[in-house]
Amino acid sequence: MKSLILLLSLAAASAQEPLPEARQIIERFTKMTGGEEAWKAVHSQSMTGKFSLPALGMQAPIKIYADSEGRTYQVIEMPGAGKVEAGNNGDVEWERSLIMGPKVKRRASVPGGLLHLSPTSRKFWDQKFGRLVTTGIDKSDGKPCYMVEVTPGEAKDQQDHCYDVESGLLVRTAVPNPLDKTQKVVMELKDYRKIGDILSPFLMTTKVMGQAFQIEFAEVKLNEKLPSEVFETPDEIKALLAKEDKNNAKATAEEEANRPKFKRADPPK
Amino acid sequence: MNGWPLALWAAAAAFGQAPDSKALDKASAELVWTTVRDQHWDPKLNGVDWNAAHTKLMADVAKATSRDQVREAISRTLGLLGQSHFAIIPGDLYKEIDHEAGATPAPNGSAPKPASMRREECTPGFEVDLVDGLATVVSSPEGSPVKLGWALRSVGGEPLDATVARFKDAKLNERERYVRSALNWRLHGPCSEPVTIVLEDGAGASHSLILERTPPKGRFAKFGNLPETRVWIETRRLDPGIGYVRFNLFLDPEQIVPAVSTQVTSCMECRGFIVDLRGNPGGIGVMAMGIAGFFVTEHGQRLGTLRSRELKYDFEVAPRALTFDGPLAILVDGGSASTSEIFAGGLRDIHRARIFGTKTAAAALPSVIIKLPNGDGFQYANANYVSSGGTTLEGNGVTPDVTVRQTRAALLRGHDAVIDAAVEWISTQK
Repeated sequence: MKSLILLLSLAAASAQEPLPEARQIIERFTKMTGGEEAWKAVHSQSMTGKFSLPALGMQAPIKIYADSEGRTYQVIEMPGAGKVEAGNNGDVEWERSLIMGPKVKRRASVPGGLLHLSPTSRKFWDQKFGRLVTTGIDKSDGKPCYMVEVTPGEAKDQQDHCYDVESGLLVRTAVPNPLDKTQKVVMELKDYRKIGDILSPFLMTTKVMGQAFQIEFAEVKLNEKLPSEVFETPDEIKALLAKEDKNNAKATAEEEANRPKFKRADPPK
Repeated sequence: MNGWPLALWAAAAAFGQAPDSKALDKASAELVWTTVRDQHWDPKLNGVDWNAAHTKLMADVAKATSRDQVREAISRTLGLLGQSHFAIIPGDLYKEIDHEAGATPAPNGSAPKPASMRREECTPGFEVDLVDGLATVVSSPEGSPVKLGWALRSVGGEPLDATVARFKDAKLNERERYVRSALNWRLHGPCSEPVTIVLEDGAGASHSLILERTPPKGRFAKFGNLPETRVWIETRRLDPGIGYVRFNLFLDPEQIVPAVSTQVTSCMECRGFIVDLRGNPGGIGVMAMGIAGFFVTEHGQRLGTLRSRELKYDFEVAPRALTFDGPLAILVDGGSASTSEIFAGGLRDIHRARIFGTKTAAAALPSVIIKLPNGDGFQYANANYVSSGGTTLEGNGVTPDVTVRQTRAALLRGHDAVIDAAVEWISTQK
């Protein structure tokens, strides 16, 4: 009985222990993955691996390129469906595939307005998120992790991150589903490996409509010279942008033409 | 997939079902049952007592003495849901694919077979359908001695009268869905064996022919766990200046999309455009949006909405840089299902297309195919789909704006009554 009381009092003490500040958790994560200086030295990343939906029998090679400015390009060569590409060069965020066609997702109002910094950069957290709050302790893969609620300053789409209590590594993210903002896409990050001076996850798994899919990297390279064309806007996307500009100009002209014109009344004689 | 399910299948064929095979069948039935319980978009499972269904299913699987009986038991259970897109795909269908992939050698150690050498049923090149109460030739390659509109009377000495009579009075969409395969399978056979047929022309004269069989048209396409299938597309220009595309499946986007793109972009000044989806049973659902992007100019238009237990997804069309803005006719029949219904119903609901033909199959549920432990495939619907006009396509289908049935008289003149109706409508549009 005594030991039970002791256990209960220990548990109560543990429960009352204040949770670390969200910024402390982020700083520890940055430190555990190599530290701010190490991340500052990373100018580019190129990742190659495998995208798979195991239950549906789908497997495809994936390549991701990213640079320190925040430009990204990703391509999945899906057997039976062709290339599925997505890119963001700061001025335009786009995607295209044979199945769905090309699409402009967002356009920047100022040059480089869509660039997003690496989440491992302290600057990223300071600039991009208006609010960081530690909300509690959860479990991921059976191990406790600190839950941090992350609210981006501009986008308002709240994200939930979970950082492993023991290792300090980011082990789970939950971000609003782009297909249905009322739902969140939960992704688990595993198999952190050392690349140069930083630690990077090599396995990411998630579930959509009951189907698990995963990205498994075979190789991650830092500071390689990236192919120059990967951040260029594809011609097909440029054509869509030109069409959009033309339609906007036409709409503005029509609006102008339809605006009621008031004739100044003749002054009374 | 590795070769062991195939080895088991061979063993079962030779000696009856092995104990391991029994365990795999049991695990497969269990997986089917739990998948439906956990993944069906309606947690109430369309009002079916699923626990009772489980008891019966597992008892039937325990009693089964063959893989076919296991499949029947699972199919009966799935049939309780009364919905489309719940099916078992026999593992045998995957055998050729596994050889083709070359990932593992064939069980006897032989090298994987190239596509041209695989065992495949061949056809005499023409197709029949039930038109005006007769098994009538509806398509035939140029130069063939078999002419459009001729009635097929017998195949290999066996008259078709009984088959035709059975389908004559069936409900229209049901008939259209099954009649083609029921009539045409008799023409299929080994490539090395010619087929003897008797046809009747428009004047009532009989023609007895012996025709060589050749591989069906189209190229093989594979997507995920879907068995490899032949996909073809036909594009042409109709008088007076109307673009026309017809394809048999929403699969193989590397073949279909560039062909549609070429036809659309070369037809920007055309008077109209026809997309012929008769007999097209669907395929990759989201491909409906990709093809629709050639015909929709305005952003934010959606064909419909998919709803699963955890997700709502709008089928929003992304307009292409070059779009065809003129009159658009879509041709459908009882063989048009799933993605075809999503495409046709959605474009009609946003007032972009006029639909011609007969009512579609009313089988439009988004689905996926997983592999079962016994090597079979299991297709299950994991979402419902509502067209942008508010109609649930499953069970309702798409009713054409203009109902037109094929006629033998038109075929004998070398015409297609449904295409003629669409051309006539386009010709009256400014």
